[in-house]
Amino acid sequence: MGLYVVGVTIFLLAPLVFPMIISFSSGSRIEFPPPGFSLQWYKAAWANELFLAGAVTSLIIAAITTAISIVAGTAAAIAINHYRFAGRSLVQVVLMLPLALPAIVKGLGVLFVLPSYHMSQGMAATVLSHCTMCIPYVAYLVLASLASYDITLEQASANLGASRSRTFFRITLPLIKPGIVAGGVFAFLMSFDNISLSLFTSNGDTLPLRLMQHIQHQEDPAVAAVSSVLVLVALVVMVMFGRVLRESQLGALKTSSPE
Amino acid sequence: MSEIDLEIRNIRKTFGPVVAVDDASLTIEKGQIVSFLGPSGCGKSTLLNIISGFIEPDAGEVRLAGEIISHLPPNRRKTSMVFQHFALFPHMTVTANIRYGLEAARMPDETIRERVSEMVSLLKLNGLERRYPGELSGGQRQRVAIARALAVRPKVLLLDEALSALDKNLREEMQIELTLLLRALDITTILVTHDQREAFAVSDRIALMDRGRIVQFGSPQDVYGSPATDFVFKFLGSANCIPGYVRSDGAAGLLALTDTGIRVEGRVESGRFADHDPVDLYVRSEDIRLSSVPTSVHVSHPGDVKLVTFLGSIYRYVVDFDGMQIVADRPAGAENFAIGEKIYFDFRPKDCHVVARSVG
Amino acid sequence: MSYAYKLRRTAPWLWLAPAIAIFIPFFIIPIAVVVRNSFNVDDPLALMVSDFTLINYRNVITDPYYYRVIFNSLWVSAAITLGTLLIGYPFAYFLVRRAKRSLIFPLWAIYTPLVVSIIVRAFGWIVITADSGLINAALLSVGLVHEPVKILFEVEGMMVAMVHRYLPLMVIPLVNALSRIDTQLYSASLNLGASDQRTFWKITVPLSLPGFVAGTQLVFAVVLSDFVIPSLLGSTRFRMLAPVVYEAAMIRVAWANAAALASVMLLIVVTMLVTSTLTYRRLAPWARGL
Repeated sequence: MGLYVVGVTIFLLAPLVFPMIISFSSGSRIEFPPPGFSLQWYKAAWANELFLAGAVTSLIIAAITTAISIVAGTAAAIAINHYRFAGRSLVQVVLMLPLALPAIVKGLGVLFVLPSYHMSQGMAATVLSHCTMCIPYVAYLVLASLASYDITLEQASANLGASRSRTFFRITLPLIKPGIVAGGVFAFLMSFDNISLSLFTSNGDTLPLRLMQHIQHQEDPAVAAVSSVLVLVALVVMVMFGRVLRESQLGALKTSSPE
Repeated sequence: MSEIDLEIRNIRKTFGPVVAVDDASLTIEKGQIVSFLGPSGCGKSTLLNIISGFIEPDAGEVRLAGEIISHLPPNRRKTSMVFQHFALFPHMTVTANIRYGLEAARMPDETIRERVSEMVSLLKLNGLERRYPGELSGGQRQRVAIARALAVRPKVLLLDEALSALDKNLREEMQIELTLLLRALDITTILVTHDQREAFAVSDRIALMDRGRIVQFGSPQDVYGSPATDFVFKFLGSANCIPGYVRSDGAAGLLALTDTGIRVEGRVESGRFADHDPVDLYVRSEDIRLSSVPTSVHVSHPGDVKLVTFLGSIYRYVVDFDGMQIVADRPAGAENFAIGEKIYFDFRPKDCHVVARSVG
Repeated sequence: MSYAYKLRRTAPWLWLAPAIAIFIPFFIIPIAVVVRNSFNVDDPLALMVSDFTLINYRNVITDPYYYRVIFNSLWVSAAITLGTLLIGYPFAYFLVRRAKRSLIFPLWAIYTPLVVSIIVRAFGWIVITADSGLINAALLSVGLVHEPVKILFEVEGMMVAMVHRYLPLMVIPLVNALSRIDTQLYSASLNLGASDQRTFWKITVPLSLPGFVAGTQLVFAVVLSDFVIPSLLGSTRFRMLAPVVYEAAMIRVAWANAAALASVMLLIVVTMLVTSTLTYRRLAPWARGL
């Protein structure tokens, strides 16, 4: 049984590890074992205008998408958690629906409606379509941290004379921060990595699309270099993300203790 | 002497540096209800889990009707457990929960159905058979848990804090019902609890546990009336702690003198104490005697009544003696004192328990 | 009174306003438009002509090419769902039941796909399965084969990559469901005389049903609509639905045709979600609160 777990773990990690080995190859193509060590593919990747420009485009799209999703997703989570209103359960279902329906259908739909909105494919359309996918993640994670949030704290704050906005910024927001941060990290990753929506809404200039086109045409070890950098970034995010998770649990513990 | 049913001998269990159960030995007679009573961490649950087989002891043995069972896995022991939070299978109806152990024993379907309907009527579960645990109240879940445990006709029934999940009124109701049921079935039962009232309400025998040791094993009257150790005395009932010291008094030998000047004779064993040793005298609140006039033992001035609380059958007084607070319970019919009144207190020497005070 | 009351009624909608402002134009209307456009007619000269006809659906159903594509996608979805379940269940079970510090690493590994780009993972499989890749290099060097084995751009290679991509989506709900099971239930089962096997089949398996349903729904839906893996690792002789939708819309610019294919995909996913949820509610009435 222990052997089985090790096997599955290797299966899960192998496709992340082997491109790293290739990325340091001195050979001119993908080959095993690599003939020698070299940083040439990192230089090649760095020199590739398409990759660099794609990374910048993707970063901008992901950053704007994250900002919008945090605001809209957190607000939606508060509406669902704090209020009982007609249509609440429908809102809950619709809010999570984008995660259940095929992204390719959503992307195609956005492509269809862009002309009637007087929009064309590009950054704005991509950001807005990414938001429909990222808002549910933020809302979901904020709702999770609201589950351990005691709403009577707001009454206590109001009772002590604080205004609604003061209560929101001094009480509510700090307590659900772990959920918001986790949601934001998730939204950023989802947007940065998105293909199915960007296919239809962008000009094909995001990093994942550029890489995809590149891979389809040639087996270029420079992609391995880019991959390794992305894995490294993911590792850093994961370490930070783990910290956020621990903090969110700590937050739950703190609010639930009688002190 | 009736037949011995369950016997544990020199059980020891450590978790790392912590000794959870230390050389515990006990014999329980057939049909007896025994409580393992003690504060949390005293080892009572560990001992119960050793009997049921979930924890393997480091040393010692468990015998059921003379046969050693401590090497058997839990599913081959004739002990049934009612778990603290009942552990009902949430995906099974009441009937399916009760059937579970009978099916595991591969009993014929006819027997299973008979046994289930017997348990349903015994625990008054009629009408709830097709419900899921999630659709039952706390009291009903409790009944299902007991029915499920009894259905397999165990030799010993184990209850792990099984009543503590209920609220107070329901708990007391269940204590009575459960006691009647267990007596009627004549089933040997072990109840683990930290609640002294619960242990007293249902048990024939109480095993008091402290830091892994069984410090006293006896009837409720025994353990309350003649506590074997300081721990037992302090644990049972609400006791006042009155500071004092030991004095050597020629003919009378060693005696204790409270700081308020009450002489207590015949309670200080010469082997354990010496002259001038500081001691604490523990006296239960119902054993404190109050009076408005000094008696022969009093050498000091009276205290002030600070608080009077009416608790139904008794009045509880809090009296301040120069900063030391004494809690005393008196029957509602006795002489009453008012707040601010000057009164004296004393107690019979036999009602007090003298304990060496640790310095510092 | 009426002002405060009105505020209470409008307040949730004010909080929801930003999300609604994005969802209606960029999610709800687009889905509706896809369905609507599937009844239009493609025109070789214009984009598409507004109409209300079932001709696109007739094409999808009667044309052996599309029929094949849909069948392929359904088959692969079912196979990957089963595969991830068979590999994932023991893995999840082991992670939860033997919760030890040493298992932090596998648990961590299962979460990496959530943060590592899909392109990176697909490229990883190319590196492993290409003619000059890891597996062929190993096979050639030990002399098991003399020619590189075709794995990349074959159905089998694609399916391995899909199992890899979607295993976490099966394992994570299973781990959640399994770790929600009160461990006292296992003790209770043993205490009632049940063997370990009986406990597993009667207690563990039924109680992990919520995770099983969530994982199955998730994996089936995402495999059916997967675009990246079939495009990068798939075979040209074994087409899948998502790349075909993309081609119809962006390369052939047959929007009505693309809309009909997308609607079929939507219909399959929605039918699967609804029927499995209803079946689950009937089979497990006890799980309503979970």
